[in-house]
Amino acid sequence: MTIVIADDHPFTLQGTQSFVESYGYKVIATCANGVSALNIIQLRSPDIAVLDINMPALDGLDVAKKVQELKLKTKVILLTMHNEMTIYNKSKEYGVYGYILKEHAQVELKNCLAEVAKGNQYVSDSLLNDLISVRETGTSELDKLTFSERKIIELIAQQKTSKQIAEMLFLSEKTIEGHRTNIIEKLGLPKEKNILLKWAMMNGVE
Amino acid sequence: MKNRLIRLFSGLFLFAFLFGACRETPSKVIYHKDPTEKLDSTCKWLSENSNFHHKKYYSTFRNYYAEQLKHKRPDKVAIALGELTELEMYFSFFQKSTLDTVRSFQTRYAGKLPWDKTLFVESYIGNYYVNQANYRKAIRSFLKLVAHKPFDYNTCVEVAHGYGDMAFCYFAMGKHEQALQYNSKALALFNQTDNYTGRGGIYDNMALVSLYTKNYTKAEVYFDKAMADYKRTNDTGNVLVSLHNKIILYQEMNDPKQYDLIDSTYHLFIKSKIRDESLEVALSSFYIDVLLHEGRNSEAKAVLFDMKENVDTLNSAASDADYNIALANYEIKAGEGIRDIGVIERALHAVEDQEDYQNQMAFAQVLKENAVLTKDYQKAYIYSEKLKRAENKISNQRMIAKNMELNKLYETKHKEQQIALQKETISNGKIMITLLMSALMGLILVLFIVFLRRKQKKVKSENRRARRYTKQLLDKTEEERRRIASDLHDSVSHELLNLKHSMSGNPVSAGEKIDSIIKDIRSISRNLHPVMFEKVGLSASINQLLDRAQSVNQLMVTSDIVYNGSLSVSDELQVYRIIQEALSNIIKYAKAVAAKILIQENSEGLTIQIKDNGKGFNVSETLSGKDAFGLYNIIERSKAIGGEAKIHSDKNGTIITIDLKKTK
Repeated sequence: MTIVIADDHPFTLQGTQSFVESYGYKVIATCANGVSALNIIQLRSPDIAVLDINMPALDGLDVAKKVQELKLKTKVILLTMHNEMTIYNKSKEYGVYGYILKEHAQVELKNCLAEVAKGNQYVSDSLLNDLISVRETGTSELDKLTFSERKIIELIAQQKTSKQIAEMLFLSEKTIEGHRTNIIEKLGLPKEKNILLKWAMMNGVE
Repeated sequence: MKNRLIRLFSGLFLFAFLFGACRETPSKVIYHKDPTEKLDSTCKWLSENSNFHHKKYYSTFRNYYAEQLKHKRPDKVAIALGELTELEMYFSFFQKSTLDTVRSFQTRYAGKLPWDKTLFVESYIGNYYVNQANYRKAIRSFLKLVAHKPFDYNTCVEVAHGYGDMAFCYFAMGKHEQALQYNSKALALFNQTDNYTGRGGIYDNMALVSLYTKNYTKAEVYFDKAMADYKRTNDTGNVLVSLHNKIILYQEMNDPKQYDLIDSTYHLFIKSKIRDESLEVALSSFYIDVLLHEGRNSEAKAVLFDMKENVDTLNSAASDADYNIALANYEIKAGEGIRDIGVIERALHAVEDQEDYQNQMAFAQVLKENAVLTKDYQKAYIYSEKLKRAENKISNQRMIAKNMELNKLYETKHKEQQIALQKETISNGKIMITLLMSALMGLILVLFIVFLRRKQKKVKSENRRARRYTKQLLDKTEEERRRIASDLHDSVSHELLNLKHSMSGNPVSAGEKIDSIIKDIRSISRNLHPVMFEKVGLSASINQLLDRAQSVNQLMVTSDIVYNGSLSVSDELQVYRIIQEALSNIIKYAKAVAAKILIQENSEGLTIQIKDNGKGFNVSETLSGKDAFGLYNIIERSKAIGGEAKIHSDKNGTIITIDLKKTK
């Protein structure tokens, strides 16, 4: 199992290298920027490349994109400070195997390397947690619903029709109906007329 | 007595045919007499005044004339005949045979010679009839003469004489208006030449018209002008004519100076030895009047005897009338009674056919006096009636003349008034036009100024707004920095301080603290700039923004984005900022249930729309207020990327639309 590590911060680079080596992997090269990383990947075809995102010249995402375009067998793991879904989504487009946050590297890097080595994908738990953590917690049942679904339930509680709700939320009536079905399913409610209204009344949704 | 005037007059205008020698040249003169006029010796001899009374004059002419006819030289024929007729006219010595010659010449050569060579034909025929007191026939000839347009000295003088003669005819017929009219035409033509004798004749003529319209002062002025012209050419003959005319003026004015003047003029004439039967007859008849007046009957008889000789030589109605009247007067004065009353009666009858009221009066007068003398009261009554009628006619004519003059004066004045009125109207019109024009220009100017003012005002308010925006932008930047500073200091520094204190203790809690610090910094960073905007792209960044708004601010925001990346990254960032600002406003003020972001791209351009169903606001009021930075932020950023933000808001919500046209 050969590994290439790229990071423009020498301390981080060194730290990562010692972690990786401590897990029993062989680090064949370390690079301070994306260009040399891509060169090494092309020349020596390592099994895994652990790349930082923010680097001079080519960044981690660019390298991942190139790897995908050149159909290289090296699997890319992004080790980054960016706890952002947008960037994660982008990295998925480029066929990145692992996405972990530097702050949790001590915990996650080992697992990530192991999963990726097996050919699985690994995403940092804290990335997903971050999104969930901003949600407010209310009724336990309501927690199961998305923001949109909760909004719709609120409007149902105000005895609005699907048409009115659709107008108020700038959505189509069809979308609202779809949401209704999803909500009923999520809450495990029987298929009755006005069941959502009844449920909302009963659960004190305002 | 006035009858003499007319006869003398025919003499007068004949004198005008004398071409005065040119001594000085007034500036207005156009035509000058050609002093080198070439004539052959016979013609030259025929043209001399002094040769006219030579006994071989007519035979010389006839021989020469026949000779030239035989050799078919029409130009020489014309010259010879021209010279003869000129002298006949000069001396009022009209011969029936000459008239016939002129007529046959006319039939033969009229149209074959240039018109200016045959002008003498109409001139002679006209004057012949004047001499016969047949003015209508005379005028017909003169009209043919003046129909020509003069082009040199001779033609100019001829035509001028034609007008002058016509004027005389009208004057003799009592039509003073026409007389004046034609006189002024003649005068205008004479003024173009240096023919002072001709001009003098016209002045004489005008003086007589003035005399007959009782304008004595004017008459005297014209006589003096005439006399000045005659003296200029040393023309004693015409000076005598003018003196004669002045006598008539004095007679008319009943001025007693007339007797002295007649006496001296008559003796001047005798002394001058000028041979002019016509003038002699006229002066004689005056002198006889003076002699009879003074009772010097035997002297009068002697003068009458001399006069008879001249009258017989002259073939003139006027001279005949003069003589007959003078004779009759003498016979009445001598107490003998008119010997040959038939002559007078026939003469009266003859002038009654013509409109010659002057002679009618004279004849009626002597016949009446004779009837009184012979105690034939019936006849005296008849002639008295005729006299009265002629007098009435003349005074009528005078009245008419007077009226005409007054009317003319009135018309002149009226015309002047009309001209003044028209001028006033025109100037009023001009003033009106000028006023209108200046009013129009003023209006345009005012409109222009208003337009400029408005534009200036707009520019000013725009500038003010821009200044305010810049200031607010700076303020906001400052506020942002303060916020970042406080964020860093309040959260990050404090957390780090906490971390420092807890370093010695629980490593787990230290790690949590560090995580919290990282989260704070990430949050600060996110607020400052969308993370890796260039990499992530506009759509994803906007959706990230909406997610955050939804999760943090509980605002339901959906999006419908069709975007192919036609904008530059910096423009994309502006669009992102616009949407961020709009969302921020909705969250802060709108109290909306939901909002929607729409981005539609097509071949024409890009449309960005942000709408909410909040409470809405008064757009113009808010824009002019202080807290409009958010809206100006949207407007100015839209301008920066080449679009225009339209903000519409009412109680149902707000719609912000930005259209970006594709520049390609």
